[in-house]
Amino acid sequence: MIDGYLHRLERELAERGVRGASARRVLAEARDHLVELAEKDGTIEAFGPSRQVAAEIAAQLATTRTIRSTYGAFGVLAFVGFAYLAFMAVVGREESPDLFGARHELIGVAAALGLALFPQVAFVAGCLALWRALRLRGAATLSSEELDIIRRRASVALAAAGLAAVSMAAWSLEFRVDATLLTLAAVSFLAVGGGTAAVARAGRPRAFGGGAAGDLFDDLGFRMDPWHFAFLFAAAVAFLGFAGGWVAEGDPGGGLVWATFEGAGVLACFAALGRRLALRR
Amino acid sequence: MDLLLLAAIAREPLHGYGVVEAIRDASAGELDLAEGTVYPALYRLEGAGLLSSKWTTVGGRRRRVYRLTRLGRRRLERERKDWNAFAGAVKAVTA
Repeated sequence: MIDGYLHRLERELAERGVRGASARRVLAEARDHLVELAEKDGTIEAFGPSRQVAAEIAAQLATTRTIRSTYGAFGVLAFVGFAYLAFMAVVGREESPDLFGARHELIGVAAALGLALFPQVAFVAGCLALWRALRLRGAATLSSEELDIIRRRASVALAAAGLAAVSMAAWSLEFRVDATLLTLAAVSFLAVGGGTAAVARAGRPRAFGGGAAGDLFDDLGFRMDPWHFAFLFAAAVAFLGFAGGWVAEGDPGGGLVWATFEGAGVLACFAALGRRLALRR
Repeated sequence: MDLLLLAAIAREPLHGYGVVEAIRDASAGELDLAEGTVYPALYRLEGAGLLSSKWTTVGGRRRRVYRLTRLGRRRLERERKDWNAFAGAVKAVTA
């Protein structure tokens, strides 16, 4: 009776993505419980149907692991952020190289653009993932749709951080081979790999379906047309880009180039990643 | 559910079956939980740092025993206060 139940429970857990150490722990605790139940009542019915127990455990694990892996991913992003700042500090000690003077011109330009774009994408997507995870952390279990959004945001953030690390390595190889710069890039890339594995693992247990997940405006607490919001946000970022570019380049023309790049980048990312990151429905 | 589990384990460290029994006994059988579904809640509370657990052997049988952490004790006090306020308000209205 008990072995049969545990066999069914193991199968139900596996079907919902709960395997390995987690499943072994559940089965060991269930066995202990069932033995006591059988000794006392002569039946194990009070434990509940194996399908229901497995579904609740999978939903619980999916929620806990997704929230935890998102915190971990944000930690990785913070680490990569510091590595990026250290990289830029080392690079900034010498005069900027000619952007078109790389060993391979195309790779050099791509690396420079990647150094400007990917850290920003990683920062925004990472903040969105963390904010959704913090906002919903009190819930006993979250729907599979909500968990998908959190993991998707964390995955995009980690992918962008990984590309930032690749850009760091490419920049160093193209413009200035430097052990410190390459080490910063390599360590960042490894950290991103660890974070990505944790987020992928969190997606294995299957949660309950619960309808559509909220979008960006559920996170922000107000609602407006998504594209109006995107244009306002792009304008604000472009303004900051203009100010930063003016200061960095020493002339307003440089600021305009930066502003155009930043504003267009925000709108392009909103168009490309808007649905994936639940910025719009 | 969280309040019930935390309160039961606050009295003494318990394994899953013991938690169900403690709640049933304390409520004179009024609260009869679906026993298998206690475990997801225990895992959640443990994941939140409110409980800790470890394997022990009792009578040759391995069992996972849960105990309240300091954070869990603080949460229990808060949940108790909230529940008493809520129950008092309902009682005042329905009396």
